[in-house]
Amino acid sequence: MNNVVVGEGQEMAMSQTITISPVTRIEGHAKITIHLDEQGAVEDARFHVNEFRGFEKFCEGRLMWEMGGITSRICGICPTSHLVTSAKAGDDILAIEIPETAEKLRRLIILAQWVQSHALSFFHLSSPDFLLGFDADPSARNVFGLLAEHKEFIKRGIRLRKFGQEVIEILGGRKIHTPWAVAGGVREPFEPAKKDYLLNWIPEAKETALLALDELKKIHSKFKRDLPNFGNFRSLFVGLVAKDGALEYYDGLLRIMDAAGNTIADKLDPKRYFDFFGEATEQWSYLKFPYYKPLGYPDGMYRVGPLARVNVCDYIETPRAEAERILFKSIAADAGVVNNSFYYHYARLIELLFAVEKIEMLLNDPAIVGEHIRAKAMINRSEGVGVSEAPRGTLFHHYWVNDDGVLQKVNLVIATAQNNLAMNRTVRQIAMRYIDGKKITEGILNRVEAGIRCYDPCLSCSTHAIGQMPLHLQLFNAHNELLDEVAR
Amino acid sequence: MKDALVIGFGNTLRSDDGVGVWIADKIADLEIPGVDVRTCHQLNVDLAADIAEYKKVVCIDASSDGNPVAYRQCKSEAPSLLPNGHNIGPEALARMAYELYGATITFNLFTVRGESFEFGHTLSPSVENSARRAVNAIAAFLRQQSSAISNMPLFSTETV
Repeated sequence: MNNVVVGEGQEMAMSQTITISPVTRIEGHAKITIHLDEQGAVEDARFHVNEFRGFEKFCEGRLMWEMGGITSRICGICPTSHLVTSAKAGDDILAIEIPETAEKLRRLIILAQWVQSHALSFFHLSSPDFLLGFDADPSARNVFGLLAEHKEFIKRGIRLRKFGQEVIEILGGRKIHTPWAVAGGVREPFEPAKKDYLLNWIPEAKETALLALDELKKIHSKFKRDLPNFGNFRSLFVGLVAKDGALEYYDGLLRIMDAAGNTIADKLDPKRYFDFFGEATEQWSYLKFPYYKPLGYPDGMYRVGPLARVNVCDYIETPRAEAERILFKSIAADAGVVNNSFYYHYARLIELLFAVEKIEMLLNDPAIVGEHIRAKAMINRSEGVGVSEAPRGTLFHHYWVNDDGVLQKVNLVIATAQNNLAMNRTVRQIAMRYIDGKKITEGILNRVEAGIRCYDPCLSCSTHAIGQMPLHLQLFNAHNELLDEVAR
Repeated sequence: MKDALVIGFGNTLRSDDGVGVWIADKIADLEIPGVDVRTCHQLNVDLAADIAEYKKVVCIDASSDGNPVAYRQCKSEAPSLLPNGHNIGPEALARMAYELYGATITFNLFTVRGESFEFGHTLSPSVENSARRAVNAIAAFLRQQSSAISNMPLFSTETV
């Protein structure tokens, strides 16, 4: 089998395998291979993750209290989600209920994380696709290409992201990975003097979020031709919801919905995640493939993140975001859920608006400036699970400790991995629609990459289980004969 | 405009990859008047607005090859590589500061060659030595003694 590499310095020849590497504008390193049959039609497509990181093994033997500082350094994009989720796992080990103010402060910082991450995803990573089109000149289809005509739009995006960052820095300090959230609560209270500074920023942040929503809705019609084949398939959706069914981001219970909008499992205790979800491995990727156990692998494919969260919740507690959610749901028509991954962007912006609105509510809550911020206890359990909704989806931290709080085992289940099956399905669908076996145009390349970007994957924290994942290299000749194979 | 911003970045869980943060922390300890210091895991677009407020910007990063300590400059108005992924390179960040905010500043990029990028909190001994030399040179540079850089044989200098 001949291999053809397309991407940095593209080339194409008679081929059975097309490789797109690296995938641009997503975090970490990945490649996509598209496998053609003898007739040149797409047989399969795979999203490979080649970067291997063994954080879980690295954490073993360390003290539980260090985990916030360590896990928040896994990722430069969503450190706060890891920080808070780690602290929640610590709460569970201490068997402790944290003070009201501490919970509200943690909620505030998680929402700020959503703002900065969602703003980056939309304004700077995906908007070149939307505003310039998939068939635009690749030398201009990037954030610099937008500057000529969309400078103010980009600047607004930067300001919005900066708002999120500012909330995080005011709460957690200048250093992005500071272990501000700890088992039992948080280390520092919120300075009342900063409240007005942030509240004064809210109108602009809200306006920018609404502007982004307006722009995106205008853009949808431009991509009508692409939409039917852009991650449009049936899957399960998983997300946390509050006890009353509201969109949840910090706590709550798991809800699982099928592609027809039926709730197939509800009010699941997220601390029992291992009862519901399994993790499969494939030889061609370091990234695991989580699935819903009752349906098996790969039928138990599910999606997490904005699309899933907005799909599974009954309502959103802030007014403008709720109005948008209702509009969003109208896309689903009779299906009950929106099954097309292209609408991750739409759902992400609804969440962005919600986060800004909810930050305003929290800042106006008198409890946010309370001084009781941390409860203390000894080790009271040998294991603990923390869960929250990171920007990309549900995040689980599971720690096992000895009586001294030394970590014996760590398991991190991150959002990008949970979307792995769906990302592969998306790539395959796009490839089947656009690849004809003769040539790859920039437009096709862009669409495949944009399909992945719907999920805004962040791969720097998504690979784990050192020593267990297979490394598999295969060498094929032009006749599809296996010449060499290395597996370890 | 403010005088100078120092940005040290890298992954402090990956041994020598965190050398930029290590150096920036040492520079912060010196409390040089007019110099603000930031550390981060990786550069990002919102820094474009921050750097536009400064006359001089110093970025410090680890490198996987080249001289033990290297220095180069880039002009914010010079063409640059595209941002790629959630993070952004120093040159692209400089370019964004120029395009978005009209910042015509010179970016000063210092790199220290790492030896180990495995999991770990500490620097390799030889890298720590290089980092200490870099701290001295950067501090001198920030105190307007830029000749301190070109006079140091360990530094490669290049203007982009």
